[in-house]
Amino acid sequence: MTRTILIRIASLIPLVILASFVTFWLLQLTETDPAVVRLGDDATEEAYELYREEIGVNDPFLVQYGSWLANAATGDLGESWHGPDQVSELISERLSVTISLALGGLFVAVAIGMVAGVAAGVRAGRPADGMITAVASSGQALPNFWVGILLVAFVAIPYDVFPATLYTGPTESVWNWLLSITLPSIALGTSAAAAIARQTRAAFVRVLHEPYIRTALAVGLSRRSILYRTALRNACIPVVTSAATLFGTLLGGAIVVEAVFAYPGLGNLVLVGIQNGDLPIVLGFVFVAAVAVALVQLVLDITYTIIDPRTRVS
Amino acid sequence: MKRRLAGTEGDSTFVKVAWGLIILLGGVAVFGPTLSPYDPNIGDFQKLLQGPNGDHWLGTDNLGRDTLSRLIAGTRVAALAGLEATAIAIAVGVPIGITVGFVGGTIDRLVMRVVDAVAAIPALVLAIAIIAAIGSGLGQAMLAVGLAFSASVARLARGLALAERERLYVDGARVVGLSRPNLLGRHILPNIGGPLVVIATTVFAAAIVIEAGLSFLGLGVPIPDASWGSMLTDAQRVHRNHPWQSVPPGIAIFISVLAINVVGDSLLRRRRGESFDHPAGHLEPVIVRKQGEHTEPVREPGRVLTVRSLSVSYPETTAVLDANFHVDQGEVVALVGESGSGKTSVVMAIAGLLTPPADVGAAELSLNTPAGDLSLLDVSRREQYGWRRNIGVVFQEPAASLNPLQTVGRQMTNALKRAGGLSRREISERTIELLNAVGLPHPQEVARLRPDQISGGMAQRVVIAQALASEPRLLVADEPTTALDVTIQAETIALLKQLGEERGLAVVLVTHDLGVAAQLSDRTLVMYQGRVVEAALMADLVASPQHPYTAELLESVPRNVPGVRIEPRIDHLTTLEVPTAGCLYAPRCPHAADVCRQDEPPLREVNGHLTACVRADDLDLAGITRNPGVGP
Repeated sequence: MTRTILIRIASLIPLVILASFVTFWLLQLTETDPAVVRLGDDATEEAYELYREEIGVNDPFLVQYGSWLANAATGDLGESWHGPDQVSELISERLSVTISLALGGLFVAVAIGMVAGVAAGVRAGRPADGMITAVASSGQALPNFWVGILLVAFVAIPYDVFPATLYTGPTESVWNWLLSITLPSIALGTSAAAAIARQTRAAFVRVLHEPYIRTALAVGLSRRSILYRTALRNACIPVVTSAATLFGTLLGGAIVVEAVFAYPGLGNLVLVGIQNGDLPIVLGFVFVAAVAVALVQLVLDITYTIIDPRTRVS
Repeated sequence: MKRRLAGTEGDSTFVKVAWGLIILLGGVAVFGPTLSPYDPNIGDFQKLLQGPNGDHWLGTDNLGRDTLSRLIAGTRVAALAGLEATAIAIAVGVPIGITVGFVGGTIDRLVMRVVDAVAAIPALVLAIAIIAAIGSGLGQAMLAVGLAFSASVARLARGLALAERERLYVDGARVVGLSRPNLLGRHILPNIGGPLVVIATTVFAAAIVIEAGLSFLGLGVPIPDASWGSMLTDAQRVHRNHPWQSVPPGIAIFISVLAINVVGDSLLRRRRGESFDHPAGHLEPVIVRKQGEHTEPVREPGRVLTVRSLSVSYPETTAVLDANFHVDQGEVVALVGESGSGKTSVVMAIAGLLTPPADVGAAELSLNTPAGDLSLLDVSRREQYGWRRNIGVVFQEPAASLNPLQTVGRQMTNALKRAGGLSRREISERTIELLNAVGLPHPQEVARLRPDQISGGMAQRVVIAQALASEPRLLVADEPTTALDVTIQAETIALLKQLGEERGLAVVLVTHDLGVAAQLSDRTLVMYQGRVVEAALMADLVASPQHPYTAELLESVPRNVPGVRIEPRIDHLTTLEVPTAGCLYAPRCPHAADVCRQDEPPLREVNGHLTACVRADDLDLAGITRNPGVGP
């Protein structure tokens, strides 16, 4: 088991490095001049050149990338072009918001989606199955930020339970933190929950057509036991596999949803960064997103090997 | 209702509506400026934030602009966004995927690593990075979205190209000398079309949502242009007092994404060809209807199973027509015939495992158990479960017949628990005992293994052990040796024979292999196109067949190689038409005469056999004097 985990970790590292490389290369395409971002329009050419030398943008591409990566490995994502702040500090201040929302959304998606999908799957072919499937098909088409806007307009503002705009960190008050991420998580998770529900239901139906279900029936296992022991676990496998991709989507969605709730997350940071032409922030943001996705992927891979022992490396 | 919601056929109404909506939205996108009642970008400051009214059907926004007009303008933006992103994703992803899939080797591995890395960055995050690099705007935003999705398109295209390449090697197209561009054009591109359309719908729908999201953040269409996303930005500023403002653009996004998803799903279903019209699968077998005249069952001592007038039909075909037989304690009855003869339908009907759309009926289907007589006709689900517990079933595909996620021991435990009345300790003892009985060496260790860790032959032994768990009096085995290696086949046959004798089981064995039947069975029923055409003691059947089809089967048994498939005479099969009258075998029968083409012949007794051949008395069919499969 440890070996399996180590192998997964080893395969995720190059993925993250490659993702950062692609982004680094992409941002080279820009015409933004860091010196102008930092020093404004009216500095002297010498001053500009001095700054460019100082931050190393005159170096060859690979040298620049190499030193960025070496620093990134130690947690140093460089200095913002726009101000004296460290990118890693700016990001870590705001990471909690975005990650809270993305994980909250994932929780909503998996919890509601799996329950609804299993509820439909165990009633496969019956009216309740058709209803759940129809609701899920519609739910999947709901854009998360619109759900967010509606939740603010019709829940947060009229009823004084959930905050409409005020984020509380988990270190300040766990209860208020939970309250503050509830509505955004629902907004974020609704469409994903619908997708998971449909996927779970489809996996369930596919499993019910497998020969081993017939064997279980022939052996005399009860409907209950076949559904909740044999079928459920087999049906979970494809759902867990796809949840990592889903987390990526939710992380992207969190950027938009936090704008709806005006939470001070990474989205806000990166939007201001884009307006200012502050590319190190954008780069750091993409890197952190890739790392977060990779970590969730790792956790899910481990879950996956627990559910499906066939995938263990021995 | 059930079918309409969960089935595929009924879905077409939804799909039609969805297509209609897509065409409508497309029309609005194309003819938007002509349809628009007002200029979407010019507001009337006398009419701020109105609700729906006669002049402004959907009201006005915070700058007094007509909401409907802005919605129409936004439709064009959404359509363009979807088209651009989809086109870019395909234009970039398909060539990369096909090329690396086709070239293979190191290039493939390297490129796919990069593709994986790009795919690891969430689409919206990548889009934001690209916008940061090349500036904001609708075109840039959709370039970004297109590139983000090109990774998944490339993966798909690569997979298809790889599969196609494998197939081509098998087909020998390359040996024949087709050049690579030729292969691409002729084989790969046509096959990639279907899956591509499906993924295109996914990208299109995602692009609409992401465009709206980026425009909502101010990274999409420039102010003051209308996009559904930017309309929501405006709406959000005032939603405390004017919640209506968020409704029209949100509904627009919702409806268009929903319509595209519904169409995409229908395309996907059609392409997969998986309809799952009966989503409960194996879980809800059909109930056998009582049909025909009712007579009191005759009680013969030692009788285990009685089948009278069993018929199985499917919407298009009749799988079994009027099968009658019985099995006594300690007796092995074989059902023999080629694929499609209905023999599997017979045993699965007996086991109560046939699923819809099969329609099963019988005059009698009864089982004599220690607890009394059971009938399978018109029973409740609960009674059907009870019936099945009295029958052990051995399936054709042993590996697929075991739950892949549970150890052998665990599955044995489940089966034994259902059999009832055993303590935990007794269950584990019985597990080992049964695994031992089916000839598995080291049963303790086998119990700890999962199905993927054991061979097919071992898996079949486990399936047999499970079938014995409830101590049934009847064992039905559907082609138990077909999926196994030749050497394992012989061992499995020996095992079934031994178990049947030791435990006094009544056995129904289905096989296409007369050699297997000859080694195991006491009596044999030969089936052809759903009809029993001959029934006799095995020795008699082999020595002097009374039906030409039996003779044909005997002829095709290799005399010294047990377990080789009967190859039906292909030349007959390919040209055969099912006759509408007379003997079904007639078109294939070397002895067919005019009399054979008149009425369908009933089973009758000739020389101690039951045969459905009208000419049985006249024919002197060749049998085999020595037992086939025993030696030259």
